[in-house]
Amino acid sequence: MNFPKYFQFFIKELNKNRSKITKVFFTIFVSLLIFSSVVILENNIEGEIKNNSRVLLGGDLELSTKNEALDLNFLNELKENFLITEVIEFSSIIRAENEKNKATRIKVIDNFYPLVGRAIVEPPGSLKTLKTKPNTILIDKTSQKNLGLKLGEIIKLQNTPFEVIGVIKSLPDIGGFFVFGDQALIHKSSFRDLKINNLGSFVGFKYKLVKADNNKKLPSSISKYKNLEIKYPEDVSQNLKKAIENFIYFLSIISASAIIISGIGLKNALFSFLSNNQLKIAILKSLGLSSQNIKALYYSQTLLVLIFCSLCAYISSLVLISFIDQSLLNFLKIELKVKFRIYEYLIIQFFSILIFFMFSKPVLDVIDQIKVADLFRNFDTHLNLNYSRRSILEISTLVLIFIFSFCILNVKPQQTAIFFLFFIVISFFYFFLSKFYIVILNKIKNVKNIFFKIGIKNLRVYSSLNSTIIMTMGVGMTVLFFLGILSSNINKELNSSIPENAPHYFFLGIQKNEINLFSQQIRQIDFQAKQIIVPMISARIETINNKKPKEIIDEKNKSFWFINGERRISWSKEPPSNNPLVKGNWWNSDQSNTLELSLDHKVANDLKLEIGDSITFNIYGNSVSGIIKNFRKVDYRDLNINFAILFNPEYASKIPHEFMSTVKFKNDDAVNLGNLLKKLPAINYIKLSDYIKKTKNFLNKLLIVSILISGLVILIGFIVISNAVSVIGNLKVYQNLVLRILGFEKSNIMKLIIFESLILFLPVIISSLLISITFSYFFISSFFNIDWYFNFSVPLIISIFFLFVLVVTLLLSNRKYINFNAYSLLKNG
Amino acid sequence: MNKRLEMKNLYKLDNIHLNYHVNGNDIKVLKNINFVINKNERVAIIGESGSGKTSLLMLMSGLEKPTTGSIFFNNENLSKISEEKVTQIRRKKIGLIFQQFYLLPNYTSLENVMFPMQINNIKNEKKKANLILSDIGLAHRKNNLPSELSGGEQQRVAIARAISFNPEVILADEPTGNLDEKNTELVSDLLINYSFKKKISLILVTHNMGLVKKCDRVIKLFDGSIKV
Repeated sequence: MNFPKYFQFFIKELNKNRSKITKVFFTIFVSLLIFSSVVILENNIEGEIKNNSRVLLGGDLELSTKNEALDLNFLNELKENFLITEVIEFSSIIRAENEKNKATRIKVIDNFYPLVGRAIVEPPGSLKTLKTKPNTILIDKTSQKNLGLKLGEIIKLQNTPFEVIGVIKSLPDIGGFFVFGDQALIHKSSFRDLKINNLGSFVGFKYKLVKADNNKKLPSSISKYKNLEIKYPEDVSQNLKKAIENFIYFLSIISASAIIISGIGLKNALFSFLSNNQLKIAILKSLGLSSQNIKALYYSQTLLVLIFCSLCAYISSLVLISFIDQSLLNFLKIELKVKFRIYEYLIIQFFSILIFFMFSKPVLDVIDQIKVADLFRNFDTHLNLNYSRRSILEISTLVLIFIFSFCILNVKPQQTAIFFLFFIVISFFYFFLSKFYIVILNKIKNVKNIFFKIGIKNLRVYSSLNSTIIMTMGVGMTVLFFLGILSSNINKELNSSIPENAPHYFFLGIQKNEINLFSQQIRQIDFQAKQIIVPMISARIETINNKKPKEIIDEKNKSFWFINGERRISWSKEPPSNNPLVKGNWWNSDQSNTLELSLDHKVANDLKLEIGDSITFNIYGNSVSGIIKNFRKVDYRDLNINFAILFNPEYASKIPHEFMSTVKFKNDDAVNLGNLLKKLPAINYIKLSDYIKKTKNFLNKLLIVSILISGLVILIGFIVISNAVSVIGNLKVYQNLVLRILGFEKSNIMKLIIFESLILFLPVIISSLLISITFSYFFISSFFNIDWYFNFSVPLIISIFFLFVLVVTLLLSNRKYINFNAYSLLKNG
Repeated sequence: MNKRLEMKNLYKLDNIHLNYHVNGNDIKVLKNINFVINKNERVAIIGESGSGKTSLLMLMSGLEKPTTGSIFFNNENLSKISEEKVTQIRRKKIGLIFQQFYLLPNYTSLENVMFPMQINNIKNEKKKANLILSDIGLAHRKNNLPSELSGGEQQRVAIARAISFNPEVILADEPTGNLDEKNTELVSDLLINYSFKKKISLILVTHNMGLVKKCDRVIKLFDGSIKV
């Protein structure tokens, strides 16, 4: 056949098969839509973070110190090679004249701010005014709204009046902070009048540096400044990436599941198509077309569908993402700029074609089994999926290419490889399970009951097809159960991030002589308020067992944060009620000569610390060593007072310190802190309930996204399984029609279908449940670092839904001979 | 006298009409069909293609219900009783033979013949099936699947299956339509002989005049009506 004729034939065939193509199109389209969306999101977020990391940091590098400014001489030395802007950050309360108040992170800027990026303010000239006019302030939109402020009004910061001259729309250098908090800008000249010296204000001095030219390096004298922290743009992008890594990984796993499911779906759809078109293929062969010609026809048809599908899915994803609520990403200062990128589209296309060859090649090879002789015998051949050595080798190579490509494009390559390994292992498991079935069935003999007899006969006769069904069902159900459990765990984790008993306020910077007044004020606001007051100091870890911590602990260690930067430390006579002791003994309260330490047991595990190890702290310039006495279980998520380190009280109480307090009011909405803040103006507070509300809002959105996406994948999984079930249903139509004519009642055929289904599916459901529980436990606790939990209702709902889908599918595929005239169907083909 | 006559009736078709509704049009397949077939009678239904022969057979086997009229089988109105009841009657009393054979593809010859006995709970089904297969000269093919048999052999297995449970009537739709001369002769003889031997009524649709001649009576259809 020459090409134009072949093309004509190709188009005609495509047109004739359009109803079948439409059926398979939906599954592939939805899977590729999910996959494309994840690829676009991942690429965009990563790209944006990478491109903006310099802006997010506010320079080529950032030097920071806590509570004290950088040495002037050193600063001058730096100025020789760098452009520098100094930003001082601290938390404080701003009070409006109407007595409304708000805890805000204040940024003190100099005349050079910002060195990189743009600060967008309104009115546009207000940043310039801020730098020239003393005691002026720029506040953010939320504060303006909450405090009911207008431009020109006066607010008080640490009892000093400031004129509101503008509103901040966005600042460039968020550096991963200000995720939920409010912020305000004041100028350095105004800062000098404020009395910011207490610990609770968490004053941070940041120096954003821009190289005068590319070769400039930090002076060697920097090593003298041990408390100095250096950050580069890549640190910012790393931190931001880490913050969203789990979510992106979760999406990747889902999209991998989706495309594998669509591959299985494609395979089943092709097998069903070929089984139903045996006669046609035999006729085409009798008319002179070779197996190769026919294969080429179906290959090109399927590839065309895949190319069209990938293109539609990619374009739809672009449209979908541009319409989604981007507030999820706004906190990261990421603005998704989606556009058609040929590289992204090629990735989608590459994976879809790879999946097609992996799953469909052995199916299309069955065309060789269809013989023209069938036309003479008036019988169809039983098509078998035979995997020759060559095809096993070809498929294995494709699988390896697929896994390798998918993993290197993923945020967590090793973990993704393990996920695929799990896929391969369970595929083999179900393959052997299907073979085991046949062995068992062949051993069953002398069955008297007609249902069992026909049922067992059918299972034996269609063993090759049943193998495929068992593998599809097994892999499909395991993935669905796994996704269900994974999703419920992620959801629980998101939900439990918001504890019920969390306090409403954190008060910081309470001095010893203010404790009674503070307690009294709280009681005046609400007599039943629950308040906890604890002492607090700030310290930096100098050595662990006389070794510098950064030399022995890797940055990738989960508890690196513990040795990095300053730690707030408290002390307690008794073990805190929310921190049970897990190892060691509590201290003797009279022990005052030596410093004893109580540590978070997770940190101790990560850093391999033992009871009796020593840690040296730098506390206000003095080195103090202590011995680890015990470990506690600390759950930071309860949002109550939790310290990774506690000191023994007799020793620690001699160190200069201040206090912090948590308060839970009976009715948070009716609380007015006006009087308290007037009497104790230096106190700082964080309104946790606001934070919780914002977090809840954010997490709810994540929750909806994860439920929607996994729900969608589970749905397409059902469609694929249902298609697989209907393959076998369709193949039995002829046999069941003959049974009906011979006098087998409708109810008996239904019983037969149910019997066969139960034999086939019950062990699959049980095995898939057991495998998914085991694997999800391993996967969630190892890779997501969250506590695994099992909610029986999830697999139960999936199983019930699955049974429903199964019954509906079987009824639909068998409806021909259940409700209609049997003989006319046979007679008319 | 009338009552005794009625006792002999196997089939009584009373004013049968069958219409199909296709693409908005009513196609009149059978028009005003009236006849009686007695027990142990051999009747050939002949007519041109499209005259309604197969449709008539479908009505008589209970696989289709008439648009109007009644079909009595052993005095039971097939057009009025439930589908389940019709299925039971077909299972126990009617043997069907088709031009395309319609053997169960995954069952051997022996299993195909045993099958109606199994669903009718007839004992010693294997022994009986073996006997029938020997009788029709296919003992050596009993373990072969239908796809491994020739057309004539497949039709002989189909006949064996139809008579295996001793039905009251065999309805055969062009049973020799797909066979060569030799096999046509063989199958025709088998059908007629079994009908006499087992006292089974035989109603067949055929174009084969040799087979027609072996029947007691002929019903000729023309354009959906009986041509007298």
